[in-house]
Amino acid sequence: MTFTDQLLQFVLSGVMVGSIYALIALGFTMVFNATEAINFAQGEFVMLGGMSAVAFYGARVPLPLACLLAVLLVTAVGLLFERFTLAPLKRVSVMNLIIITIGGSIFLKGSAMLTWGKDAASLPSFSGDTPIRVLGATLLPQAIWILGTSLVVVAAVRLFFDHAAVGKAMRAVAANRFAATLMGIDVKLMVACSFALSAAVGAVAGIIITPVALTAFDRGTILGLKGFSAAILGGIGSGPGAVLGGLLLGVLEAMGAGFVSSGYKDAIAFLLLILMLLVRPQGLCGARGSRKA
Amino acid sequence: MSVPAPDPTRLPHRAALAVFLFLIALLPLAVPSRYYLNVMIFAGIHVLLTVGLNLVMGYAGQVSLGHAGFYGLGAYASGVLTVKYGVNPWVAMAAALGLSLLVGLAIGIPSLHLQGYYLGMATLGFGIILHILFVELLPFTGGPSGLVGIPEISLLGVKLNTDTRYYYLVWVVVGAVLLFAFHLVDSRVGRALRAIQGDETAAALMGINTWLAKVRIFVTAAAFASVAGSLYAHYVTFLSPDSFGFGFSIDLIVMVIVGGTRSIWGSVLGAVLLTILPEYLRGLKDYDILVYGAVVILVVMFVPSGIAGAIEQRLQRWRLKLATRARVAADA
Amino acid sequence: MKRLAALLVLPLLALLGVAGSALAQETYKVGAVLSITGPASYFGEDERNTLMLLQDQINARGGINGKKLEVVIYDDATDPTKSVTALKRLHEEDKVLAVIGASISGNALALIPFSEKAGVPQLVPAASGKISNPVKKWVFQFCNTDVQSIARILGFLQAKGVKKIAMLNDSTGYGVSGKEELDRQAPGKGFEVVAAETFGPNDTDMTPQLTRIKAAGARAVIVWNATPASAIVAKNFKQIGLDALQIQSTAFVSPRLLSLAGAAADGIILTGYKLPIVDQVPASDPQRKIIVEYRDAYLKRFGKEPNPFGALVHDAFTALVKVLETAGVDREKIRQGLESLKGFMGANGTYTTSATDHNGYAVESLQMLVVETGKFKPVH
Repeated sequence: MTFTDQLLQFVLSGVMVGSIYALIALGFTMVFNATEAINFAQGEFVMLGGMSAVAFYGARVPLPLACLLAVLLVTAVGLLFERFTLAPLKRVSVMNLIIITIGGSIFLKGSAMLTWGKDAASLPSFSGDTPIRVLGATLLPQAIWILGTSLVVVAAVRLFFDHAAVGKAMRAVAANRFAATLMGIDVKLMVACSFALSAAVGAVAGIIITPVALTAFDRGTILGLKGFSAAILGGIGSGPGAVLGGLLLGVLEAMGAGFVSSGYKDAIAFLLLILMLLVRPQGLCGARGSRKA
Repeated sequence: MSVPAPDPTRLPHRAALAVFLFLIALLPLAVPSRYYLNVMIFAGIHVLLTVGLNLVMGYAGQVSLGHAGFYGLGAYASGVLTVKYGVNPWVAMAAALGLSLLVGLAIGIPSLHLQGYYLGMATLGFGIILHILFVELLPFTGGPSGLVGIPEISLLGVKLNTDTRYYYLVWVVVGAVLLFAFHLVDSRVGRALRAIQGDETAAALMGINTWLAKVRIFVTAAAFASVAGSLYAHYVTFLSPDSFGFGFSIDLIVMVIVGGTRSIWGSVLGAVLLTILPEYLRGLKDYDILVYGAVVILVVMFVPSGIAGAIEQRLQRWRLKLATRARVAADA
Repeated sequence: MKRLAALLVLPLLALLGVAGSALAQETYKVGAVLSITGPASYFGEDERNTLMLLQDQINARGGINGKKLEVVIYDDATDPTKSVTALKRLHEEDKVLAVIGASISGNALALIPFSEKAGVPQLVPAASGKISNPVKKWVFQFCNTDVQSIARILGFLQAKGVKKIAMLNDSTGYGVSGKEELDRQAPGKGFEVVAAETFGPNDTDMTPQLTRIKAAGARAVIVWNATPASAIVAKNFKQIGLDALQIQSTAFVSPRLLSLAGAAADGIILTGYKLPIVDQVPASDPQRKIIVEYRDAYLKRFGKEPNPFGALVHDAFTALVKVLETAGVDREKIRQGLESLKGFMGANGTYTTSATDHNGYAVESLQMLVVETGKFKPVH
């Protein structure tokens, strides 16, 4: 393999993994904008998406329908999660919100383990397993699905926030909660919406990656961590930042593994991330002077 | 309320600490087996970690998601120096402490300029990088399958190789660290920290060098964690990177929050209770993880200021009631 | 403030009640520390199931020497610290005669100093060479070490005339000690290791690593890890069209992993035990009966076939039971019994120990297997 072939292969791998990180980061962003908290259960939504799709498919539901049901189920879980943990609380510090979501992630992970067991599971690829040659590199058809779906989801989220009334209301809450209340926006409802939406996006990420990367009850933690890093890298609260951060993190990892050392690839990615933060403390696309925390 | 009461945090804390340590000292006589001492040794080590983390999180108001990294640094520095270089455990412990102070400075100086989640991300990243180093520096650390053969520690010719002896070592250190921590939060640094937590910009305007105060606290917490790591290394006499990962950093944060931030006693409570809790839950088989998650959620939902916060509020109300009653009696 | 202090000590006192007082030895009590939750629950699950199955089978047959057998199983959540506490509880509170565990090498190594100090036999179903080398007085390993597995694989590759090899392992203890062993053995046997790559147990895509291996021109790739990620490796291997032999470790010998990898598993060569190919083992083989009995009972009770880790615990436990029959409740006698097993037959092989060898599996226990159209077959 020539150098350029290898480079291309690393970029393809990085973009595929990175678009998954981007979707997860987008979920973090939505909840952050509505609540100013990081939802540490975001990774569990991803896991639940994959696991429930596998469960539906295992119950002989056709694959497209199984995926749809899984997204709906996880959206419902997201809503319930918000309803029973965050919604009843009146005044709560951001740190406490975080701990509640950590407790929630432990709970969801445990529930998944008890419901579906500890074995890893997989879904069939949506369009077979015959690799596609791209110049000197190769790509699985599922990677095209991952890229395509991510693009569609990102575009849809963008349109929703720019044009739909609910989306605009959610943005208003993110910009200024108090002013939004004065304008007659139901802030509580918007927070619930943000959880539902972030759960749905997380579920989509979890489903489309399962055919290539498997899924298991404990898969959520690491994916959540990567998504969180991507969201921070992009600038927490910024939608385009989340997408950019995700792709960048994915490519950094693949390059680190390919050119430097596969053992240190995560260390390289995190080191670069920290250096970037020191140079640009608000993230790539974060608002300057942002004191949000 | 008109009468300026003496600072209620000062003397009672010392008295409570004395009572607490006295009870801790009696405990080995009361337990039926060394298993309880084993649990309490780990609980004590966790107290060292949570007290430091609480200084960073509760008092200085900074998010740290990589505290387990410093714990691991102390443990591995002790382990590697004693196993690979034959250094005396006490010397190794001191060297580990020095190294952790340096690393704490190296991490704290640049990253404590960051705010909120960005600082969280930086500390998270450093924690993960340290963990990767424990795994990858195979010739020194033994890699992922672990470092074996760490020597036991001796004090004045007595080998601290029983649970009882080690229990006392750990809790003497805990006592010293608690004393230091109480002193710290009452000192100028502590007041500066409280100012930062209230409003960092205002604190800066008042002439407090907020960044320096944060760096000091961050390094202090790193030092506590390093000592905790060294104590862990010489008790278990084996180290595996699994003990010092991101998951444990999160466990520590949960202990601090459940116990109550901005309260040293809260960290003691949080660490001891959450070290014991899984032992209670063993009977529940696989369901323990569900219960653990639920307990964490419920405590934070219904006791948002943590267990210590709730107790303190109760005490304050009680004290107020007594004071009012006294005043009513005096008026009459 | 005294109330505050009292509050701190109360839960401890309450804890005393939970564990209960130690009963007199009316039963044979055996302990186990397994990773039933956490990242290694993949091992612990089958190991616990196996112990529960065997305990009930033995008690149904009337126990040991007329006494009931009780297995106390604690979960360590794949955390070395929790495994130490669990072991302490088994030693001090449950007063078990011997302990099986831990599920993974790291945790097992954390337990060893405590087993040695307490003088309670520990039977380890994990692979690291550090467990039985050097020999520890109270520790017995029931797992072919990576020393043996790598030697077997290199012997196979020598016979095939392959010289340029690559290693791809995960960053867990299992993966890395396989790599260390390869580094030790390969140069002396005339191999050239042209690439050595690692991946994290939760990674989602290994094409960068395999691309480097492909570019290095390896003729055989030894894949060493014990998590389901090996199925992803198998898929990525086919994806980038890597034209080399793919060798996987014993941990891949599981029907469940095989179904995860699907068609990508075909052609994989691995070291394994007779468990997955037992239906192809001649009826004259005395091991066949043991394996079939275990597999069928497991399948009947848990609805799936056991993986090789379950079988390791099967062998450790049945060996322990055999020793208990003659040694009774004397731990030193149990230790001596475990140290003088001669050709004890388990599901994974025959087991022979001595004072200088505390890992009794012969290297011959390892079979070379190949995956053909989704089935394990012996290599001829």
